[in-house]
Amino acid sequence: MQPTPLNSLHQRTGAALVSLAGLGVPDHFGDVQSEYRALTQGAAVMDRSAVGRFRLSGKDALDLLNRLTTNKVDVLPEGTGAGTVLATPKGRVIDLLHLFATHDGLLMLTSPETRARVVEWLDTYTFAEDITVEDVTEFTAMLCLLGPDAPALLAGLGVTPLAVRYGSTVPTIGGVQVVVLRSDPLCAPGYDLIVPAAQAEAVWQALTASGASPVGEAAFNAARVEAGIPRFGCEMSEEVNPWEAGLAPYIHFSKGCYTGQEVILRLYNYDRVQRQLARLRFSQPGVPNSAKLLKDGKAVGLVTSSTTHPITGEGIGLCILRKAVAAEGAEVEVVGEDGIAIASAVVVALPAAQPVGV
Amino acid sequence: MTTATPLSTVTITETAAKHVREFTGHKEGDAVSLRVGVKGGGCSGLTYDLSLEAEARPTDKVIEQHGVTILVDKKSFVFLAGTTLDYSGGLNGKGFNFKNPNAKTTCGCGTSFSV
Repeated sequence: MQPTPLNSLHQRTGAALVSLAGLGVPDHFGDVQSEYRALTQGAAVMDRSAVGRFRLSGKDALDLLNRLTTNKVDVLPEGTGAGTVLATPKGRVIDLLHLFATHDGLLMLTSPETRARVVEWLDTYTFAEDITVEDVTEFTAMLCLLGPDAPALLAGLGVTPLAVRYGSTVPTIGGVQVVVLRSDPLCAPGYDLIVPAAQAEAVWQALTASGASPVGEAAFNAARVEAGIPRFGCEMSEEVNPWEAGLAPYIHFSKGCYTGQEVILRLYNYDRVQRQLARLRFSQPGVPNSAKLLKDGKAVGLVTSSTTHPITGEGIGLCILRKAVAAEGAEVEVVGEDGIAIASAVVVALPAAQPVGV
Repeated sequence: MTTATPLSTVTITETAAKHVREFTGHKEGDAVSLRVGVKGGGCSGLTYDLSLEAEARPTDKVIEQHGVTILVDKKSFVFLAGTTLDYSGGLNGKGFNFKNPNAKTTCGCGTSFSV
């Protein structure tokens, strides 16, 4: 595992590390339950340095992205941004990109696992356009401030409040110039702070001193599943289209041609989207990822995320499920690769507050 | 000695060349220069791009045909080798259009293709 800029701090605070796209990030700090409480009821700080971070420059950058992705991103005034799906010509998902037009230039966040793939894709489709894509992931750290108390905590540090998702500001925190992005990775207001690698610890200490509790991947992932948010490698992959992966808010209906547009809009217009993202409550914890879902003996879907609720101990998960079966309260059977029943599951409605596109 | 075969160059039909001159207001005999290229994006992944440009870039492929100078940048040429730029006019005509032997699929409206 490669270290993130916060590695020595994590070692000192007794974090259990896990590999995320080859980078060692905290899985937990010894108490997943209290980390989950901080995420959902207080203020939390997380090392999100594995997320791909790119600086985009050149007058054709947004124009090219607009022709390659699902949302309308050709014009992003400073201080705004958008999420947009990078799709293949067959309308499958390469990744969900997050664009921020900061005072410091155009920034792009990708999933940790897709850094190389996104760069390669953009390069393949760049001909005479004036665009430069610079990977700044290794020179920076990214700290994520989450939880209902996060906005007040940031305000207490003198940071201008960001009213809307994809807003950004460049304040000084703990003597360090920081790029603050309102990224909302868990749907509720959440802030990614990008700092130079050498100053990561100073900013982390400033946040924990203000009341943010360190949290790791385990608690974050449980909160993500509870919020019904898709993740690369789980719900998002090149095997699925954006509708199935729960990415509908990032699809613009009238902006014109982009790669994959014909397939993506045809699926919607002809009502051909057969599956959708759904939440599940399992009859017991420990259901493996990729377990099959059956209804009356027929295959109806696949488990895409599975974890244990840190407080209740229930098995919770996400799945991509045939629409006909995806009504709240519907029951399905969960079977393993060998076809033997593991558990049963009940479909739970996705939370009302879903991510909003531009 | 080898001569360029159709598959290794970009060609323009006489009709298309005539319409380029008409479009630019050039008379027969005037020098006309057209940049033919590929852009990323568009529903199938790649889009044809035509623009009027006089200056050749150092890595351009330069093709003279029917009194028109065609400029193709190096990367676009990979996808355009063997392509013919044609013009179909009239009420039901498509205007300028590309016949590209490399193209595997095209989108519904014909402006985008993949290889």
